[in-house]
Amino acid sequence: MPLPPDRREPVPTAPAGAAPSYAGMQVLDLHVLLNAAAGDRALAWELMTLFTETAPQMCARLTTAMQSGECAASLHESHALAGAAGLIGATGLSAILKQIEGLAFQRQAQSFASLLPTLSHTFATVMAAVAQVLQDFDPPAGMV
Amino acid sequence: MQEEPPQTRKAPTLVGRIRALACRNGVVAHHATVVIGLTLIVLLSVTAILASWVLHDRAINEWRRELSNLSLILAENTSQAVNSAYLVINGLANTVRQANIQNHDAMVAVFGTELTFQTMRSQISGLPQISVATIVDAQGNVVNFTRSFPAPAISLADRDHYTHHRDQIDRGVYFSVPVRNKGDGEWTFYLSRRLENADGAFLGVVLVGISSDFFSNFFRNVSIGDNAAISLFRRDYTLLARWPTSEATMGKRILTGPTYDIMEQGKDHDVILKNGPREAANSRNVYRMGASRLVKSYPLIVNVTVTDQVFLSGWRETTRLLGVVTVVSVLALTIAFGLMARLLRRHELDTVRALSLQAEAEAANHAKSRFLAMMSHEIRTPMSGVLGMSELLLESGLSAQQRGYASDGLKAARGLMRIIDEILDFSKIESGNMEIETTTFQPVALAREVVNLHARAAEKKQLKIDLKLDIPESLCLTSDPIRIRQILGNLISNAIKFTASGTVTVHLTIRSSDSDPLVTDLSYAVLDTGIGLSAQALLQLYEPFKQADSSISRQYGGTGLGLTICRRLVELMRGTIDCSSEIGFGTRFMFTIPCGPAPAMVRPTIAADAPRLQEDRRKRATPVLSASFMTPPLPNVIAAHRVLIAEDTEINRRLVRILMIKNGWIVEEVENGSLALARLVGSSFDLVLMDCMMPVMDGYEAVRQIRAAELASGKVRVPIIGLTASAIEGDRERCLAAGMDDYLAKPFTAKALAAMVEQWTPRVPA
Repeated sequence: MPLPPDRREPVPTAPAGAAPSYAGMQVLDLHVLLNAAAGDRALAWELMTLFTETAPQMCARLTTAMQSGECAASLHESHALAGAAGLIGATGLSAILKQIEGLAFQRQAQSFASLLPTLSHTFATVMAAVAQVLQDFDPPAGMV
Repeated sequence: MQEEPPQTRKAPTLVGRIRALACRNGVVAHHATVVIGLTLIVLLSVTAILASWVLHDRAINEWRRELSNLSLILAENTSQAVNSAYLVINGLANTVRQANIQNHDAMVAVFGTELTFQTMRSQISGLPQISVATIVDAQGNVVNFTRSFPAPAISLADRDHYTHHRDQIDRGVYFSVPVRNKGDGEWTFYLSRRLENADGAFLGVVLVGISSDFFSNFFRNVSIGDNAAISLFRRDYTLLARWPTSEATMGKRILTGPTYDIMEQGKDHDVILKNGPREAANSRNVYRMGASRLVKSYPLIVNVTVTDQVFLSGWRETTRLLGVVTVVSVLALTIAFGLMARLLRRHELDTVRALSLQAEAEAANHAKSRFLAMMSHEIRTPMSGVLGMSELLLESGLSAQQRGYASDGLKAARGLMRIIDEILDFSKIESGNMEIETTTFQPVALAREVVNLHARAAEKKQLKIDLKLDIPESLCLTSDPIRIRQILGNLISNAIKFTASGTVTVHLTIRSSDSDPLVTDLSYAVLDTGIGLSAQALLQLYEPFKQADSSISRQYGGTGLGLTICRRLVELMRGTIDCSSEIGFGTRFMFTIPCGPAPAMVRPTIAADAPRLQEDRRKRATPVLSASFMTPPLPNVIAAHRVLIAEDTEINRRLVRILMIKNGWIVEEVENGSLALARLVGSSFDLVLMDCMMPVMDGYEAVRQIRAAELASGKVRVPIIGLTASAIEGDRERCLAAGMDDYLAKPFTAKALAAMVEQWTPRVPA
């Protein structure tokens, strides 16, 4: 899999207009994923593909829960998505989700609802970045 | 290196099993029907007899009560009637005594008057039981009586009451023997008292005559039927009155009846059954029930007697009905079971005939199989020559056209060899000669070999073959690798054959058997993106010599035996094979074989199995043997250890699964704490990786319950490592407090996971 070991560039960073507290964070740190996958690029590619398949539904469920002020559902969904985002190295997205998780735990529905625009924007950015990575590089050989 | 001896087993023939079953069922059913039928008939008859017996006893007891009550009522009535007569006679006796009569003349002068006549008549008026009151002088002549005045000259000197009082100084009341009354000729018995003067000299007798007919009529009114009799006896068993009347026995002592039997036993009342001579029936033997009772305060006995025609009539009627029902039932049962036994007997004979025909067919089938096997073997030998010569011919200097001819000839010969091999295998299975061996092997290495063998064929069609492993590379199990290889090869070959473009995927999975914890279910799935199968084709997929449709046979060739052989082989290994498919979207075959564990520290290598495999292939003389087949000997390995992953997020679950498989673990996954609890019941794991936050039941609660269960059952404590990415403070403390052994924060690195696993399972090879 053509993922270079020092592939910190050209990983996209947060675009202008993102929430100030996460603006400086990296959108996608592939080293996190590679470290998690023991350097197995084929596995990393497989996990990123799986992320693109499962994360949109998770984010949609979280958004619905936040909009309706359901703290328990928001807590569960934000926790699950934070874990998945953290795994692929989407540290900024993971940080937002953990903040939502903390607020949901404290039952501050109004506070975490205000994070919805930030979440939506950051999630879209991460998905775009993951899609870019998957598009730029062929599927790994050696899966046979 | 220790080589385990291969174990072999032969498949029992289907016909043999059917024959044994049919024989057993047929014979047992026929005899069992007869035995059950007879038993039912006997039981029914015995039940009817017992019911009749019980009803008989009940009828007798009811009649005993009935007669006892009736005798009591009669005795009371008799007592009242006699008591009135006592009052009259005592009144007369007192009148005579108070008159202080000294002699006969005075007696006639005082009591032979009309006044006395009128007085006596008024005393007996209103007492229908008293027919006459009489005053008799010392010579036995009637002085006065209530029938007429003046009294006619009647002498009673011959009557027992007169002689009794004349001859004995008995100042009590005497009950006479009944006699025909000299006035009206009716049966009458008398109550009498002695009359004396002041010196005690005998002056005469006062009498009160009681009509026997009065009692007879009374008894008739309360009688309970033609075969019932009610009698009044004097204490010495002399018959005073009776209904129905019996002239012959009136005034006689009856010493053969129930009254005599009861009173002689010293009883004042009882009810008995008696079968003996009866006076009223000319001393014929009569079976009867008699209830006798002493009349209170008087020397009289009342008796009620009924014959068996009365007290057993109800029982006889019921018994008759019961008998009819029983007989009808027995007949119906006899007919039904007779028919059933006959049908079963016929079925049994049919079965025997069918078995005979089946045996002939089986013999013919064996002969066919032997013939096929022999012919296949005989054909294979020259065919091997043809193949070898064709390959040599291709390597010689040939023109392009000649090379084309030779190449086509070689292809045709190879196709023919495949057909012969399939027919040979099918014949062996059909004749029960296919043997299954058990030896140690590595499922992954086996799959790689088979995939490699088919890589060239796939490449020619520009197909990709993916091998997806969800089991450790070094896992060793025991089963028959030769047959597994044959099944897998056939399925991959089919997948390639029926796929024009796309991918053929081979997927290996395992899971612990639900029935036996020592058995591992090994599954190989072959998925293609080919033409697929219709629902109709799926129904006849495993039938021999059948393909999906005739066009398949024309277009793709083949005998239609491949899947039949696959299924039979899987069944011989006690496994299962399934297929799901959709036309145009590909097919998925999966077969699962229950495998035993590899013996510890045995060196289970493909090489150990190589001699047999080579022999098998040599027999087949397969010319496409790949050079990559001979896998180099593997290092010593032992059976892998098992980890349970409880994690709700799919991406995290997949990462952990793949990392653990890479480290040689057998992995099982669940999606919440509740499922983890269920999986741990009855199963043994070496490690549990538990996500903390999950739906249904979170990791904390699951671990608390797991620890509680371990404590209660004394089970060995399984290491549990918590996995969480919680933003909430204090997770580590919560994990440890819940009973987890350690905690790994997400996202974690593969190295961190491996180190954590190593730390908690140091003796498990990673």
